[in-house]
Order: sequence, then structure tokens, then C-alpha cells
Amino acid sequence: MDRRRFTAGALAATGLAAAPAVAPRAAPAYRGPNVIVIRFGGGVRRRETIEPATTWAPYFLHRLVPQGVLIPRLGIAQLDGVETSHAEGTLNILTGRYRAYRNRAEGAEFDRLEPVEPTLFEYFRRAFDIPAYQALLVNGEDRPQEEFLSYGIHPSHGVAFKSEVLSLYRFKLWSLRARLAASTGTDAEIAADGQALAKLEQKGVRGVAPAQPPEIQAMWARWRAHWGDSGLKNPRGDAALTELALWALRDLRPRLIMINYQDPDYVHWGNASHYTRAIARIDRGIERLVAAVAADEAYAANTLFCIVPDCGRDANPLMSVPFQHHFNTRSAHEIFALFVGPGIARGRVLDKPVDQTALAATLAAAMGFRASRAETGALSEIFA
Amino acid sequence: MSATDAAGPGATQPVARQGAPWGLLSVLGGLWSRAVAILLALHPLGAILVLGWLMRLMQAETAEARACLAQGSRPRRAALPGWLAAGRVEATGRLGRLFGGLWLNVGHGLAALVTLAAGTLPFTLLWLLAWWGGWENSFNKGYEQSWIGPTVALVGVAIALPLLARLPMALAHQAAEGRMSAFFARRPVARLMRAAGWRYVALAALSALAALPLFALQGLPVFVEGWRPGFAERSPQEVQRFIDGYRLVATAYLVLATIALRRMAARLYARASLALETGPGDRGRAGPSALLRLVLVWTCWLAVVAQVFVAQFLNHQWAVWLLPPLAGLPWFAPLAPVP
Repeated sequence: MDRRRFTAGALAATGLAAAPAVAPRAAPAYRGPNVIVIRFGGGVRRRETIEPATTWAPYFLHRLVPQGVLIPRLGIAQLDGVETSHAEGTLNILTGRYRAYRNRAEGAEFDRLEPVEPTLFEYFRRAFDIPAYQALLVNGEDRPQEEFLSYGIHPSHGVAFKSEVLSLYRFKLWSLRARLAASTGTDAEIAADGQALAKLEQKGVRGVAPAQPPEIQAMWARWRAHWGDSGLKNPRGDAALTELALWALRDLRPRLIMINYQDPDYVHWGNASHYTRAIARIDRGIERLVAAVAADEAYAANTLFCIVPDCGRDANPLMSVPFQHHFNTRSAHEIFALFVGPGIARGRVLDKPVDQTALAATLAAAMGFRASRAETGALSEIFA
Repeated sequence: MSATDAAGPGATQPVARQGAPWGLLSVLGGLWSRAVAILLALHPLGAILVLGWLMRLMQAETAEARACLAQGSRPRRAALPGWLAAGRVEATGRLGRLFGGLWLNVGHGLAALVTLAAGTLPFTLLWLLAWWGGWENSFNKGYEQSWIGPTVALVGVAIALPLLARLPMALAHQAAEGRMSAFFARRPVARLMRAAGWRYVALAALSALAALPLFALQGLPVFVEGWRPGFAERSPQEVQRFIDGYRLVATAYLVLATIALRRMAARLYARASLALETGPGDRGRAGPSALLRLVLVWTCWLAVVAQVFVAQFLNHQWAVWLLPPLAGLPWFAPLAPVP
């Protein structure tokens, strides 16, 4: 994509924005680039990622950054009510707006942030004829609350245009339901499965999580055949997210996929090395994903990567573990982004302050639709 | 145990009430002694000296209290020991009196450090390892071993309660007897705890209350942006000045609270030891009332343990695991690298 095509795409998308609330289902087929959004998540600082002397992500910084456009001064705005946290930052990326959520914790252990504005997935599926299993969100196993990121409640979009979620949580739901449907095992085993399923469902994915499309269920069946369903053989933590994303690329052929890494957040509990080791783990995950795309003919020349943290982390000089992220320090607002792929300039540094909410409009423009509710415009400078 | 034994071989003589000019000097001397203690406790090595000084204070307090109680009067506070000079009973010879206090502080400090380590490491090390291992396992998603971290921590808590409960009396016993082995005298310390009665419960409750400000002082830095907006933007010099001031305030509180609690423990020890020597034969025996008091003492110390864990969730510092508040080395775990 060049600037002219970018502008033309954005203008064409303007018409889509004016479309009626219920989209005609005869939406056009999608012919744009595949997009892989990688949340360098769990909150990371620039210091441990994009600063050469102190990075823990050597592949990302030394090999991938030279292939695209680095935005080293991406930031989260200092506004009242803007939190530097994971779901909040992810929704900034997905909706192109701050505070575009309502909290449906309702006594649950964790916040459940439900988008009140359309997400990229909804814009995308409303604009094009894309099945839900090709607009995917890959979530961590112990963050079922991030199921809420898969769609919003805006009247013009919403559940009809949702993304599907891949996570070990979803796999467990599928596996238990499949076992109960097959009614195999003793009465005690069936009862135990029923209890386990009820417990999982209580973790709350907007009530009871609906069954996923057959294509995803088929992938879960292959996953179980390969890894079993004990949860003890498959990769764990953020390595599991990489594995799920690789399986999805092979089996589901997604056109838009977001991978929500999160392991750096373990530093909350005081082992500083968990933070740096987790960054290195994500770095290896990115390397595997880029390699898988390069090795796949359908993806190789037609896939755009956008890598961006959900939030930064603090630099509290009073603490032995200075990098928490809930205390609104400047460095918790300081992040970065990298765009790599077809039509993106190579080896460019966009060295100006850019808002995290600009990513939604930019990705939408690259894909040929308009994120009409985004509050920040697209970045035309990243295109070649 | 005789009164002489309880007072210890090197105990300071009871100090008579002073006249007005001497009283003023005494107040100034006390302030000076406390200021030195606070400054020394800013560094872990200096804190060992403070620990020894506190042991000498307990020794003096015990002797003073026993003398007063034996005369049927209320216990008076003993004078604070000198940092350089030793008391007449503590040292002989001119040089010994002039500088013997320093030597005694070192000796008592090292002895108390050893006994405190023996009395607290069995659980503090478990806490530290449970925290490290538990989160290390969790980070690596070791579901198969997820029970180990919490179980080890709970075992640590179970071990901590009886050890923390006896610690004030065991330290007082060590100070009065002037020998390390007294700290480990299981039965005598248990009898002294029972003989101390409800006052010992009050001491445990006060310890739990006195630990609260330390809990707050550990947690407050987490929210520094809330009460000092823009703190992270300050220059390194400004931050260091702030850290120095914060540590001074925290250390001052820690030292002053420890002095008060050690004095109280010493007076309780004096009462209990006298009661065992002169009171009815059933003093110090186990019974339902003693059991109830013990449960209450454990509960108070459980509150201290809870403060340690919650504070660590807020603002983790490895050293804090090894320093139970007001029961270990009187050193406030640093906010920044040790100077």
C-alpha cells in the first residue's frame, strides 16, 4: 500500500461509516492485507524493549525493527480516568478511543471491561464478508475477563460482528462440553466434569459462553488429539499464546488476529527477573510468528504486523521493583509501536509524539475501512 | 532462678531519682542516646550495635523494675545505657568504664543477632523461599507443583506464631541472664510467659499495633504519585534526599517503638520472675486461662504476620522477609540500595 492507495481506502471507508446500523450481509469480500496485532503486553517500558543498551527483546529490536516503521514516542494520554493497565490499553488500541468501556465486574474477582464503542474486529466484519473464526483474539489462560475485549455494545456494531476468542480457557470449555456430550466415563467422572464446567462458566464470559463455530471446534479437536486435555503437555503462559496463534494461522487462516501477551505482569509479585524473562519470552514468540508467516505462501507477502504494548510501567525510584503500572507515572504512559509489512516503509523511525488511539484508525485504513468512532486519525506517514 | 540471676551478672544498678539540674541533663542525655541509636540503625551494621544497646537497656530495666517491685513501689524507667561508657557494674577499670559500653554493645548485639536469627530464621526463611519458589513456579505455570508455595508459607506461619509469641520474653530472659543459652530455655521462658499473665497479652497486642506504622511506611512509597505528584520526574539528587529523609523518619519510629516495647518486656520479665520466686506455687502453671492467653498472644502475632504479607504484596522487598517488624534487627529495610 502506498500513500495514494491509503488515502483512497480511507475515503472509500468514509462511505461505510455512514451505512445503516444493521449492515447488509452482502458485504464485499476482503482483499486487503492480513493483519496480526501483537500486544507486547502485561505492560512493558521502552527501557527494556526498544532501548538498545538495555533491551531484553533482541530479535524484535535488532531484526524486526529495521524492517518497518518504529514509533518510539507512542504514548497513552494523561487524562482523567485513563488507566495505564491491560484491558484499558488493549481497548485504546482496539477502539481508537480512551475510556471506551464500562466495567461489568459485578462482584467478580477482576474488572470486566465491556467496550461501549466498536472494536476493530467489529468494524472489520461489518465492512467485509469475514467469518468470525477469521477475526480472532488470542487470550491468556488465566484472564477470562479479557473475553470482554472480543466485541462491544455499540448499537451500530456489537455481537453480530464479534471476534472469536482462542485461549486455553476456551479450550477447556470446549473439552468439557464435548466430554459431557459424549457421556463417556463413570457417573462420578461425568458429575465432576459438570461441576468443572459450571465453575468455568461462572468465571463469566457474559453469562454462558456460546459454542464456537465448527471450524474452531475442529481445531480444538485437533489440539486435544495432539496435546491431550490435561493442560500439562501443551505450552504454558505466553508460550501457549504463541502456539495457539500458530495453530490458528495454519488451521483457521485468520485475516485479523490479535495476540494478547501478558507474562511481564508477573513482576507484580516481586521477582524482577520475571519481567525481563517474560519480555524475552514474548520476543521469541514474535520471532516464531514472523517465521511462520514468512514460511506460508498465502501470508508471506500479504501480512501486516503491528506490535504495541497495552501500557508502560512505572519508574518508581522508591521501590526495589520500580516497574509496576498502576500509579500513573510518566513512564507508564510511554510506550512504542512497530508496523511491519506490505506497503509499510522499511527502516523508518516516526519520531514524533503519537497517541495510542491512533493505531485503530491506522490499521483500519491499511485494511480499507474506517474506524469511524476513533478519536484520533490514521498515521499516513508509516506507509511507503 | 534467683533475683540476682534474673538481674544478670552485668546488670546496671538501679538509678536514684535525680535533682532538677541533673534531671535536665538526664533528659538531654536520653535524647542524645536515642538520636545516636536512630543514626546507627540507618545501617544494618550499626543496627547490630543498637541491638546490643537494647539488650543492655533490658538488663538495666529488669534490674530497676525488680528493685522497685521488691520495695513494693511501681517500677521506674531505667536510664538509657551509654554508647561508649559502661556502668559501674558493667565494667571495671578506668578504660573499661570509659569505652566498655561500646564493647558491650558489640558483644550483646552479636549475641542477640545470633539468638534472634535462630529464633526467627526457621520461619522467615520459609516465608522467603515460599514467596520466591511459589511465584517462580507460578510464572512457569507449574500447575503440578502449585501447592508447594502456599503450603510452605502456611507452614512458616504455623512455626512463626509460637516462636514470635515467646520472643519478647526470651530476649528479656537472655538480657537479664547475660547469656545466649537463656534465650533457648524453653520451660523457664514458658513459665515466665504464663506468670506474666494478661500483661503479656497486652504486650503482644501493643506489638501488633506498633507494627502498623511500619506496614504503612512500607506501603506508602507505592502510592507516592498520589501524595507527591510528579515524584518520578524529580532529579536523582532530589529523590535521594527524599529517600534519606523517609528512611530517617521510618528508622526513628522503629527505634523508638522498639525501645518502648523492650522496656515493657523487661518490666514484665521482672514482674514474672519475681512472681515465680515469691508468689504462690501455682504461678506459671499451665491451665485454661493460660491457654486462652496464649491463643490471644498468637492471634496478635498473627496480625503482625498478616501485615508482613500484605505489605509484601504492596511493595515487595526481599530483606523484609528476614526482619519481622519490631522483633528482629532494628533496621528499616531500605527503599533504595543500602548506602
